[in-house]
Amino acid sequence: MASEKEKDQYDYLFKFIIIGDAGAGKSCLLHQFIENRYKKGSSHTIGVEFGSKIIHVGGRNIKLQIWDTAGQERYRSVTRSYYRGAAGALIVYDITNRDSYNHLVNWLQDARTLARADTSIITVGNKCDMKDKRAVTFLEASRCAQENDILFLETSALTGEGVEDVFIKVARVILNKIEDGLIDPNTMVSGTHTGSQRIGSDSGGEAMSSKTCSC
Amino acid sequence: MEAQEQPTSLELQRCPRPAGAACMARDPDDLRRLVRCGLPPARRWQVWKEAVRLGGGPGDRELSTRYDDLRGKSSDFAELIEVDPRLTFPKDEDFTEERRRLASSVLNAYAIWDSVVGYCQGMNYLVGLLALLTDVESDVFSFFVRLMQHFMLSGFFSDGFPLLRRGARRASPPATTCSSAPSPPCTRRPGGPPALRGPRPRLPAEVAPGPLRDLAAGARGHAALGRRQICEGLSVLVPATVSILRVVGDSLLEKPSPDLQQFFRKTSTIITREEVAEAMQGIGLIEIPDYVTAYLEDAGAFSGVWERLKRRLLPWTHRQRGIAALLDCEMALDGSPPL
Repeated sequence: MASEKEKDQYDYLFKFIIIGDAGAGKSCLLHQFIENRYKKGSSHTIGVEFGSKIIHVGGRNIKLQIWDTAGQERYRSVTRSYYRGAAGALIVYDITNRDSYNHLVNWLQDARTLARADTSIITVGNKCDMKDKRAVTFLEASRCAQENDILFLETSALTGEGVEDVFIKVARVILNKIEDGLIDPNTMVSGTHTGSQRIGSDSGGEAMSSKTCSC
Repeated sequence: MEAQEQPTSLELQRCPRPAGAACMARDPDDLRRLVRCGLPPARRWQVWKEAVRLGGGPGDRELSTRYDDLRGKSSDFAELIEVDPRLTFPKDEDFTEERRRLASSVLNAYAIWDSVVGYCQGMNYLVGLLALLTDVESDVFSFFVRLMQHFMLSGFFSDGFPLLRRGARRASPPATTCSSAPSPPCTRRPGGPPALRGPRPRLPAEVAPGPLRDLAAGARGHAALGRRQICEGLSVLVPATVSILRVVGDSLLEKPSPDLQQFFRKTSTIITREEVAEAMQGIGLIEIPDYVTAYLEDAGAFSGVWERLKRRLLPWTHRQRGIAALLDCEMALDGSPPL
């Protein structure tokens, strides 16, 4: 039991949301991150699903609470309430579906309007294993991300390529903001929360730690 | 009981029978019990149609004609509808490509027919379920329209989800200050259904979920209910199966042997020795005709378990009436016996 408790100890808790068009692979991305395997036979999300995992970033144990939202326009009235207080937002598009990329701007606008101004946002080009069906180039998406001052990575929920990097990258940015005093982790609406573990026991290095649940 | 005394399927078809709806109205409690037992798949669609009063009336015929007009037309939601049936029941082998196409077609037609609701993710599961029961597209469309309009399911899918919100409000306790405690491990197993037990997750205030939080508890309740139904269903499934065999045994025996073997092989993989023993607690005695016993022994489906079953069977209970009503109902629907 003690080891279980230790596993659940963390320095900070960050709230993430995953948004993007229906069929972009948001749930598969979350599942790959939590379970380290592809979710075969995945069905679409109705409303919102949830997962959490503790990762090790910059010598800190960080618990990510991730809300995976339905992509269909109609569900936005439901999912919008989940933006509030998100420390990180993943906007996912499908690199083989041009429309899902074109809608990035709308999702970004939603994130900036409904979440906090200092929410760390990353755009994720998913399904990068399907190279022969690519409809959005890496360069184009990368430039778009730069222009909008957000992070960018490509992933494959199928193979797992880049999936952990996405979450670690955003978590690191948020952690830096906390350490620079730009985010107060004790503010209720910051999307971050000081955890149960005593801060200060740096161990260095970065490796994935324990998962606590999945959707 | 001698095998010769059992009516054959042909004799059953010749029996005078009430209309399906009348049969259901005559003894709704029995029907309810039968539905819990599980209606034979081959007859399920007919019973469902009766349940929503879809019986080929003028309104139904008009809907069917309307569907013929709409079939093949593309709605504003065509792109999403094209994708979603592939994500519907992805692990169900019975939901074939043909059934997916049927579901797409019906969903498209509905989205045009009801431009206010259009298409909302979630509707694909309803239509998918209907498509699993019949391959008559216009029937699926008419049935779905009936569910959405007459049974008000459209309220769950309309813009703003009025019924969902109403349900959430009713289920939600008065707003309280959230705890600042860290969230406990999720009670849902990876890749599995929601956990049946365990504490309800409590989340810190800053990461508290939105209005659907209480629906999660509702989902767990449904899972518990489903499990209970399955467990209880088994205890009535065995006598129901035997009773049906009693009636249709002759016709079954006339079928080619490989089919029967396959049927019982499938049955034996579903019902284990322990499950049967557990199910036997509280099961009423069923009068088992010799030919059914002989048949089951020949098939080797239950092997030693069958002997134990015979010893433990208790007198007939009220379930017998239920089975009889089912058979009446089955015959009333299209004149052929179940299975």
